[in-house]
Amino acid sequence: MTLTPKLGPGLGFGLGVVAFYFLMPLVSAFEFSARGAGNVYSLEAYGRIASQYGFKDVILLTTRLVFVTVFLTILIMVPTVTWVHLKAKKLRRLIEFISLLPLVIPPVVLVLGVLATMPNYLKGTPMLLALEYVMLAMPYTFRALDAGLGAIDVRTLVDAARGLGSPWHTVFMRIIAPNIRSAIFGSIFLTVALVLGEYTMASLMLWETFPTWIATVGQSEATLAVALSIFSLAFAWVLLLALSAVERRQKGRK
Amino acid sequence: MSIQSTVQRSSRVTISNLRRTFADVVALDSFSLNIEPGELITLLGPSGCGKTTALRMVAGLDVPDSGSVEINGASVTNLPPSKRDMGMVFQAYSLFPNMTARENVAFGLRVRGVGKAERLKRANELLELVDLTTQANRYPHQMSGGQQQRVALARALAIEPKVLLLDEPLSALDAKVRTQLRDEIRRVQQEVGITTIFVTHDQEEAMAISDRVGVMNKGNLEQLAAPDFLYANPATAFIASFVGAMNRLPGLLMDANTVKVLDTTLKVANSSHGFASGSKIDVMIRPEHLMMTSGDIATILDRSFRGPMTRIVVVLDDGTRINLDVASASAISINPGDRVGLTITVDKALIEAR
Ligand SMILES: Nc1ncnc2c1ncn2[C@@H]1O[C@H](COP(=O)(O)OP(=O)(O)OP(=O)(O)O)[C@@H](O)[C@H]1O
Ligand SMILES: [Mg+2]
Repeated sequence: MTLTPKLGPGLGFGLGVVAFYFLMPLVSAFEFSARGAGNVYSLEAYGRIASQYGFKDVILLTTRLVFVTVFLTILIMVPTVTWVHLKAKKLRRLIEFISLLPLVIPPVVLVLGVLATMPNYLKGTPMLLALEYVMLAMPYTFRALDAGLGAIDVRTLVDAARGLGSPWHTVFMRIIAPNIRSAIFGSIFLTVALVLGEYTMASLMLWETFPTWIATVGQSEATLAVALSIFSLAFAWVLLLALSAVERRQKGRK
Repeated sequence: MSIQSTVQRSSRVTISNLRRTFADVVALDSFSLNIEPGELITLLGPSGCGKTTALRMVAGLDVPDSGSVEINGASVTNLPPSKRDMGMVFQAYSLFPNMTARENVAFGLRVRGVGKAERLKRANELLELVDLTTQANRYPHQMSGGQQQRVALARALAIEPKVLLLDEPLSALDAKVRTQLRDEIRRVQQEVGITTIFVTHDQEEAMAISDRVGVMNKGNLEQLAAPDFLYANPATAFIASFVGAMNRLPGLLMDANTVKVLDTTLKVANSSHGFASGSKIDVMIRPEHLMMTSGDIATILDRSFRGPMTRIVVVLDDGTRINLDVASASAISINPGDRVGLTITVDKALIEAR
């Protein structure tokens, strides 16, 4: 109790500085994007976003990529990290190291590697890009899930569920997933943020996703470019807020 | 459905020559055990002797390198846990944190596709059996350790298992709850009439609740017998010192079957010991089989009051320490430093290398 007033002013000041640091560029960017013709403020630039060439396709493709990437990430990573915790504790360091590789290998190399190894029917589909995103997200998702599983007694819970006759998919759906919910949502957040912001891979693979589209469209006009980046920020925010609302609903149901 | 009908008929368990190795560790060597229908067998042994491994094999949570497990004569060695119907309670708290006590108990029935009304009714019956009706809607983190283990017991019994497997279910609990719960487990086991394997490394617990106790050592079953028989007739020195307290007294082997210790001649209990006559060996004597007399062969070192009995520690002139128990009423006059004599009140004993 006595700590709060003591910390109060210091903490407030700190938060103020941080808020200023983050908000100032946003505010300035917004101010710039709202400069209309003849020094009159207007949101006219934002109105033009939706009518830009390719807007609908880009939003659709990006949303699809978000969902596929999140789905694949959870489908691949949750069982993998669980397996590491159950059977291969000794391999954890090694697998953690492997999960870091996407951070150190240049995107060009990753793209070339994927193109060289993936089957032809995947090439030319955006699914290939989703697979790359799964890989790119791995350093973050592995850590989030690893921490989540580290906080519960996976071995005993799995044994108990299996002993009572659960098939593996029930073990995952009813026992593991509900007990590492925060970790799963954490990795979903990270994955969504990554897909919404990734530029290099998408442009190397010649797909027009939201970030590459912004770059292309924005080249022609400065106000529009800035309006676009603020719009993309808002888009990401809305998605993440929706997700956290879902998480809170789930928590409430428990 | 009454609780008794939980087990249509008790099962006979036949475990033959189970072997399981982890890299270079032999967890189970050649483990065999026959359990009569409705019997409660305790597996007793030091940490790392393979108790948990043995239970996991019976439950189907692990697969043996070789050997077999049969229930009522039918092999289940290669069946997954879902086809075995075993109820298991674990050493660590194992309730599903995201479910209430009742949902935990009903979980096995849910997996088996039992309808909601039926499984909740059944869960309530089982919670009643373990005296926890008032906790039905609590989550595990809202319950005490003892309550959690009782829910775990109810959960294991809910699926009408053929065999109940308990892996040190009491080891995380404090002493008082331990004895209460151990008696409750025995009561429930008798009420339901279910064949049970109970694992522990606490010999007192094993003695108190079992029909028969199996002592394990290094992946093998060394002896299987009723508690009183095991205590009185341990087959090996390892069992003797693991079950109850044991003194090692210096002795001299006269011939293959007789040994001299403290000027008394005793029969040797383990005839196939392989020592030559004249060997200096250790003789195993329980504290209650020693009596203090007037004499001059040992010095009193220490005494500690233990209720009706007092534990006395004496030391022989060669430095051997010996524990013995005397009635507390007659222990008052005994003081550290006193010189005393010792008499052995049994006529046979196990011997082991010095
Ligand atoms: N999954 C495993 N991987 C490697 N070694 C194992 C594994 N499980 C058991 N062991 C080893 O096998 C031996 C027997 O283990 P087990 O868990 O059966 O012992 P325990 O009798 O239950 O001991 P405790 O009383 O400590 O629970 C031990 O040496 C243990 O280290
Ligand atoms: Mg164990």
